[in-house]
Amino acid sequence: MIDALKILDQLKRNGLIRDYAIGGGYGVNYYLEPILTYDLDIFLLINTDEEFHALYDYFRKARYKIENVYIVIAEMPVQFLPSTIHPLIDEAVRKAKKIRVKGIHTKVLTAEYLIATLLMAFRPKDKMVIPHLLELADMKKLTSMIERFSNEKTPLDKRLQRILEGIR
Amino acid sequence: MKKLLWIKDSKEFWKVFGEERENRRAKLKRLPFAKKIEIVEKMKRMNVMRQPH
Repeated sequence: MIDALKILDQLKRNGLIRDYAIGGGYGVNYYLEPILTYDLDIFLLINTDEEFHALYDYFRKARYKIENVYIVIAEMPVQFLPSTIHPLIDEAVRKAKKIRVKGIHTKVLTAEYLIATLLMAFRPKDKMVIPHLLELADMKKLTSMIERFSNEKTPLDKRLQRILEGIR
Repeated sequence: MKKLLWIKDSKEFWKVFGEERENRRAKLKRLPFAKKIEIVEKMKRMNVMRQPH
């Protein structure tokens, strides 16, 4: 994981990656007690699909192993989630928290944006951790962001409501 | 955890069990990210070892 972060940091310095932030299981691990996580979800700030393809081309030419949706970086399967997928990702990466891990400068999604991305995925394992993350979140920030990004296809507001009803 | 071994009353046992679990979770939550990464990597290695060949 640390070696994968070193490579990502290098790619950012080289300009191949504009900006990125850790999310998914490792994002959850930043805030909560450690849980077993096999892959690293990286939210990418990217403007166009071409930019994203250029990154994949780089990995292909540099002979990185590509397995399904993962690029194996320093033995860590990394899934890149570009901001072209959803406007929430763009904002989440820009507002991500700057951290340093073993001397490496990186970013992790804030608790509020991490919750929002988990509400987007809404798998059983996401539903399990959201209540614990809610304890750390600024509810005012979260609800106003959820309102802005909710739509019929991804009803983040309704999903959050369901989680909150489960806690009560 | 030692305390748990001496509790005979089941209601009391689960109360202490719950409290100890919450304390442990809170302690783990406060660890630095680098330490948490180390723990996850150890979990992964142990999980691989447990899998049948």
